[in-house]
Formats: sequence, C-alpha cells, structure tokens
Amino acid sequence: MGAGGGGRGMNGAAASAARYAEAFARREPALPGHDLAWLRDVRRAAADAFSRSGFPTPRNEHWKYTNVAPIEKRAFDLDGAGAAPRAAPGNGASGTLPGGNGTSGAFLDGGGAPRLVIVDGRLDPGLSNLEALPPGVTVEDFPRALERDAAFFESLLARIVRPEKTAFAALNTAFMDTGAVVRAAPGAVADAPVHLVFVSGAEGRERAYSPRIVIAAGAGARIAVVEHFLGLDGAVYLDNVVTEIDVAEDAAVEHYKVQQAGAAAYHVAALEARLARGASFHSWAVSLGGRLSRHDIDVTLDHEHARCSLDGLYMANGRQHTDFHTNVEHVAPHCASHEYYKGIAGGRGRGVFNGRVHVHPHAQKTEAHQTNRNLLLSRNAEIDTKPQLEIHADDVKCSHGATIGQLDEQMLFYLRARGIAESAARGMLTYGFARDVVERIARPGLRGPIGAAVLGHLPGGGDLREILQ
Amino acid sequence: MDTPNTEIDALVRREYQHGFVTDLESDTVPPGLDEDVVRLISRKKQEPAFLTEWRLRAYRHWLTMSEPRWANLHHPPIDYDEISYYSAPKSKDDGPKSLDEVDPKLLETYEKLGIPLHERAALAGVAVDAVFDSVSVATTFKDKLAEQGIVFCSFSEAVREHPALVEAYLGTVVPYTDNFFATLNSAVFSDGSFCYVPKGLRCPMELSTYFRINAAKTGQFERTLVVADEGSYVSYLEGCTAPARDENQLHAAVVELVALEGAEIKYSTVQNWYPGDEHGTGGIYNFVTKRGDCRGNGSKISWTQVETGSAITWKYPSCILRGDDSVGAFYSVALSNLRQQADTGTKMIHLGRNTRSTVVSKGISAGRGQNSYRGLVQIGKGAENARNYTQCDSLLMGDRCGAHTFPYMEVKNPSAKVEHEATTSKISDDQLFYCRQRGIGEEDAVSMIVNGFCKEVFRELPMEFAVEAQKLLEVSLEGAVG
Repeated sequence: MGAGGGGRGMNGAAASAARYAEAFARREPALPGHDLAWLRDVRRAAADAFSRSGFPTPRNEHWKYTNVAPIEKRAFDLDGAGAAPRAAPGNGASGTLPGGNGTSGAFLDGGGAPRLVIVDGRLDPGLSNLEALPPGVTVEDFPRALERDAAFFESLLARIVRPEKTAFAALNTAFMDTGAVVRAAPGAVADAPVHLVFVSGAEGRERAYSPRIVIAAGAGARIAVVEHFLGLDGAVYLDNVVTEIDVAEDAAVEHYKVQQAGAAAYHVAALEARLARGASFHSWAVSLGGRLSRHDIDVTLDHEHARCSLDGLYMANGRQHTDFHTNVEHVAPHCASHEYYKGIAGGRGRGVFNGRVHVHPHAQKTEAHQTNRNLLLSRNAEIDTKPQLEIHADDVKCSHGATIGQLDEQMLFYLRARGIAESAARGMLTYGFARDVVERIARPGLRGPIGAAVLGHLPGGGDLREILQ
Repeated sequence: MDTPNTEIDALVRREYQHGFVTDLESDTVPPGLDEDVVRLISRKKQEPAFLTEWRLRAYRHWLTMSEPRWANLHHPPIDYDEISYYSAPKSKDDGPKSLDEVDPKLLETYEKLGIPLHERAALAGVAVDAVFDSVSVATTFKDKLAEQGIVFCSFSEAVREHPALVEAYLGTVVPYTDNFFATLNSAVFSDGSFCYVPKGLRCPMELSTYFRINAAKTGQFERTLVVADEGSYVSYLEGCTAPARDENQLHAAVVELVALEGAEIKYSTVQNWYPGDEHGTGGIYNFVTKRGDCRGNGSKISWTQVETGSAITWKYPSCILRGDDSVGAFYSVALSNLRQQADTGTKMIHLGRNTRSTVVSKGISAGRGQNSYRGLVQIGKGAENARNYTQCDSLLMGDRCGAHTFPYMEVKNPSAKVEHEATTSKISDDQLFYCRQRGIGEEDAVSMIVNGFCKEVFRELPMEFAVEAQKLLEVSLEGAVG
C-alpha cells in the first residue's frame, strides 16, 4: 500500500517514477524475449506496478529501518549493457577479475568448479568455465536461456517472485536483461557447486543492473549454487537482483549468496523458493559489501514434508547499512523450517533483521525455529531486529530467540592475559562469533574461501588471518 | 482428545454473567463531536481555562489525524459521530459524600457484579474510587489517605482541588498529540482517577478503581494520572467488568504514571469487559494508551495485566526509563477466546544509564481468538549498561485461533544486552495424559496447566487480584480445550 505519501518529496518521487517509465518505454523493444507476448505482458504489468507503488518509504512497515531514498535520488543509468561484446580482456586471463586490486573480492572457487561470470551485465566467456558440468545440469546466461527454451520460463518466470511483491522486484521484472539460469534434470546430482559470479561497476557508468537468476531442480535432483556479487570499490551502482528457485519433489537445493558489492554500491536482492512435496532448500547468505544492501528471502512450504533452513550473517562497518528480511510461509502440514542468523555492527554501521514465520491454518505438525544473535561493537552502530511469529494452527512447535549484546569481557581478559593485543583479541572473538555461521556451510570446499572473505571484512581481519593460520 | 464433553460445551456457551443493564437516568450529551461538545464537557465539569484550552488543542489536533491501521486487528469502521461523548448519572449534582448518599440502584449494580464496595473497603482496607460511566460517584478512605497527604480522588475533583498538580503533570507522559485515541481522549475525557503520593511516603493500602461501562452508546474516556513523588511507593489496582450489549462500544482510556527519584509505582489491571458473543457481535473496543515515566534516578514502574475481556484490545503499557538506574517491568496474561482479538505488548524505552527492564508476556488463544504480542525495546545512545530480558510465550487451544509475535528491538548502545525469547505450543497430550491418569478431570487439568503457564505473571499481582485473575481465567477458558 504505502499510500498517503502526499506533500513533501512527492515531486522527487514523481520525477523518479517518470524516469523509470520513460526508460522502460525506450528499452522495451530490445529487451530479451521482446517477441514473446506473455513475457511482454509480464514486463508491462511489472512496470505498471512500479509506476503505481514507486519506491517504498520508511512509512511502509517492511522498509521501516531501511530508507531507500538514496537509491531513489540517484539517476542510475538504465540503458543496460549495450550491444557490443566486452572487449577481449587482457586482464581476463585465467581467472583475474577486471579492475584487479580495485575489486571488492576474489573468486571463491579454486578455478576448477563450474562457473558463469557476468561482467557489467554481459556474459564473459573468458572468465566462465562451463565445461565441467555434471550430466543433467545446464548453466546459461539469462538472455540465451530465454532464446533457447522460452517455454520453460512461461510457467515459472515471475510466478515465484511476484513483481508486485516489492517495488524492486517489479523493477527487476520490467528490466531484467541479464542473469543466469541453472537447471538440473530429474535425478541429476551435482557434486561441485555451480558458481554464478556477477561483477558490477567496471564500466564507470552509474548503472542499475537487473539480473534475473532462475534455479530449477527436477524431481530428486541435488544441486548447490553460489551466487557471488562483486564490484569495483569506487563505483556507484545498483544491483537489483531477483532469484527464483523451483525445487521439485524430493529434490534438494543449496543456495549460497555472497554479497561483496563495491564499497559505494547499492545492492537489493529478492529470493524466493517454491518447494514441492519432500523437497528441501538450504539458503546460506552473507552480506559483507555495499553501502546499502537489502535481502528479502522468502520460502513457501505448501506441500507436505518440505523443509528449509535459512542461515545468514550480516556485517555492517563504516557507514554500511545492511538489512535481511526473511519470511517462511508454512502452508502445508508436516513441514519444518530452521533459521539461524547473526549480525555484527561496528563503526557507524547499521544491521537490520526481520524474520517472519507464518503458520497458516491447517499447517499442523509444523516445526519452526529461529535464532538471531547480534553483536554491537561501537558507539555509533545500531542493530534493529524483529523476529516475528504468526501462528494460526495449534499443533505446532515454534520458537524464536533474539539477542543483542557485545563481546564477553571475561573472554577478552582471558586472551589479553595470554599476551594477545586487545585489538587482535577483539578481532578473534568477533570472528569466533561469525565463524559458527560459516560452519553451517554444508560444502566443506566453500567454508575456506567464504570464511576468508568474512575475515577480510572484519576490522583488523588482515592481522587476524596471520594469527589464525 | 476427542472426549465428548457436554458439560464443557454448556460452559463454553454460557452467557456472559455480568451482562445486564441498570436503568439509570443519564445526563447524556447527544451523539457527535465538535468544539462545542468539548467546551460543554469542560464547562459541565467546571474546569479551569487551561484545561479547556488543552482539550480544544487536542480536539483540533485530532481532526488532522487518522485512525491507526497497523495493528493486527479487524473491525468495522467506527463512526465517531455516533458516539455520545458525555454521560453522568443524574445524582451527581447532589455530590454524594458517603456511600449512604449513593444512588441505591447503583449500589445494587455493584452488588450484582460482586463488588462488595463497603465490605471490601472495610475488610480489605482498599480505597475504591468507583467509576460508573463517566463520573466518580463514591470514594472511600479518602480522608484516611488525606491525613497522610496522599491525594486519591476522581480526576474532576483533582482538577478542582489541586489544579496546580494536575497542570504540572497532565500530558507530560502522554502528550495530547500522542496518537489518535489518546488525542481523542485528551479532548473529551470524562473522568478518571488521580493519585499523588508525597515525598518519602509508602502508601499504606492498595488503591483500586473499578471501571464500569453502562449507559448505551457512551464511549468511555477515562483518564488516570498517578504521580509518585521522590522516594514514595504506591500500588494501584484497576479492574473492570461491563454489561452485555450488541453494539460495539469504544473505550479509549489514557493512563499516565510519573515516578520521581527513587519512587516506585506498581500498576495492576484485571480487564474483563464484555468480549462479544461467539459470532463476534458486540463487545468492547478497548483502545488504551498507558505509559509510565521513570523520570527520576532509581525509580521503578511495573505493569501487571490480566486481559480476558473486550472484543478488541489494543494497548501497550510502556515505560520510559529516563532516570539512571531506573527499572521497568511488564507482566501480562492476555487471553482471546470466541472471536476476540488482542494486539497488546509493551514498550521499554531505555534512555538512562544502568536501566533495566523485564517483559514477561503470556498469550492464550482459544476458539477463534487472535492474540498478538507487539513489543518494542529501544536502547538509546546514552543508555550505558542497559539490560532487557523479554520472554513471550503463546499457548494455542484449538485449530482456529492464532498467536502472533511482533517484537521490535532497536539498540544504539554497544554496552546494552537485549534478549528476546518466544515459544508457541499447545497443551501437550502428554501433559493432559499425566493429569488424567492421576484422576484429575480434563477441565481441571487444563486449568491447572494454564495456571502453571501464567504463574510468573500471577505472582506479580496483589493477593486479592491473583485469586480473582485465576478464577477469571478458569471461567473464560472452560471447555476451550480441543
């Protein structure tokens, strides 16, 4: 809703809405799948939904703690990647990223894993490695997948993440022109995780990117996908990501999200998973980069014996603002959800967590547990958390717990008494706090590189790396 | 458990015991609200100019506001022009000085309700300021309290006798601009209670007020103000029942508590207004703003509430922990049965250093009841070493009810420790089986388990209230187990 934003700021909002509408009209004829009538309808409906809603304001309960006015005010370049393929990169040889040291992170795979790399909204074949895919698994960039098999998308695209869900999902749906599609045939089992790497901000234009990611696992399939966002540290840009995940009967999907956007970037992402009977979904997410980031993670359990676990870690330092909104809809009986999120805020950072669990009538025998722990490290940092339970069935076991606190003085003393400098001791304890979320990564091969990325974002993490290794 | 239990059914369907209307001649203002009505109320109560002005400012501000929609509540729109904003029993003009002078019909009503006013006063040593509709008609033990310098009287009397005290504290905790319902109350409040405990004094008895809604189509706009001066202590009890009625009745009360340095206020409520019938017809809309201000260092305010009545409950008794080392507490049992809806909880605003707060909320949902806990714990930048512990548990009885939790935690100080825990479950078959196996009837077993569930809250209630609350819960819940 969010109506009644009258008066103040209205002109700015109207101007920004007009800019997006104008850009959509201009780009529509050339967007991927523009010759598909159903997709045209989906895009137009989404553009209309955005025109009606505009960007959310803090008066909207879902955006109470996250003000997106800075995104609204920026006149992001909406023109997309353009036609020319990216110049064959001299810096693209064997796994180096564009921008070199200016990039906010490095690849998380050792180089051998299946990898799709998209730089500034365009597939980079030189950096990608799609040869080692297991049988039954396909990985393509979004425009190509749409071209090759449009029928696959018709029953799926914008059906899991509804464009009207948030203004950002609507914008993504209207403009989606890049992204990745991972499909696993029934029974396919992928041992190595598939890495989807997005590098933004290399071009220097202040762009808004609209990548769409679709992951579909056929009955009994088992796959793991890593969504990794990187960017150039100096660049101002907006990643507006939508991920739709379809998990068929008895299939299992693991999804890892590593958000390492550039320091000046805005990162907004909506993910939703739809689970069939007996399916399982594990989401693991870490938010490290970006000036302002927001993640919406939704899971609907509308078939019996489906289960999901949502784990995550968010870190806000400097002037970072990071926000996780998770929502689990227990519609069918005999489903289970487990959630474990931790947050660290230092400097002038602000961490926001909102975890909603909604148990519908008739969803008996539901088990839903949620934990949220936060560490507040500095005087000017802030944590806002809201674990939320809405329960309409009686034969359920539901719980949530949330804490906000600081490092244990006794533990600090213990370390200092052993001759460890205070800053290092604090760093170790902070890393220890974060580490148990890292331990929940089911693939041992990912723990090392993701753990290193987490360490890299800790204050004084560099020194710590030496001590710990 | 599929045991057919006709006795239980009979109990569930039993009509609200306190539903009857006393036929009293009421001095009622025609429905609707404008500045003239506000002036009329003020004039009828012979209020000083500052209060009339305050009411008018509130009314003008109210016109710019709209009814809040964020709560997890559903009700047909309220037509504020259908409400009559003032109603006083006729006998008020004579100004009864003692119980003998009180309209016997009124006393009869209390008898029917089981409030033995004089008995209770005499036996239990409780001073009762009984509010019948909108004007206090009897106040006991006032003289006894007055001897020690304690002011305990109706709000209108306080305005007349102690205008300086009222002016100094009125609206300082809940300003007239606070929220839609509090602002409406500020414009039209009819009466209520006022209490002032002077420095260093421990109030020798529990103070209590019985609220009662009677005249048809009369919204109740109570206003309560309790001020505990430095180092004093007061325990205030509030309880209510109301007659059955088909039309929804609006109740928008405001309670303000001020605790100065080292003072302690204990505020307890048992609320049992008419909840409406099983189809959701009738029942009281209870939109209340309650807030306590721990203004002085080392002060303490605790809210204890047992909410079993009303069709809709919308209240968040809050504490502003302004003084250093101040303490806030909130203990609540909220029950929603039939089609009752409750959106209730607390706000703990930590501003001072070493402030502590405890929140224990027990929600019970049965029938088609919907129970929401909504709480805010806010730790300000300067609140060094603030500490909060929140526990909110929900018990579900039946598959058509709902239990919801919306806790907000906002922390801006790195030395704060904030903890929140919530669980939701039903009475387990194991627990019932254990009791039944030992020869305890199902009904008693449920009551026993529910009482155990609520024990931490009941423990906080003054003795006589604890007994009443347990009984209330038993009656409200009988047969609700599925």
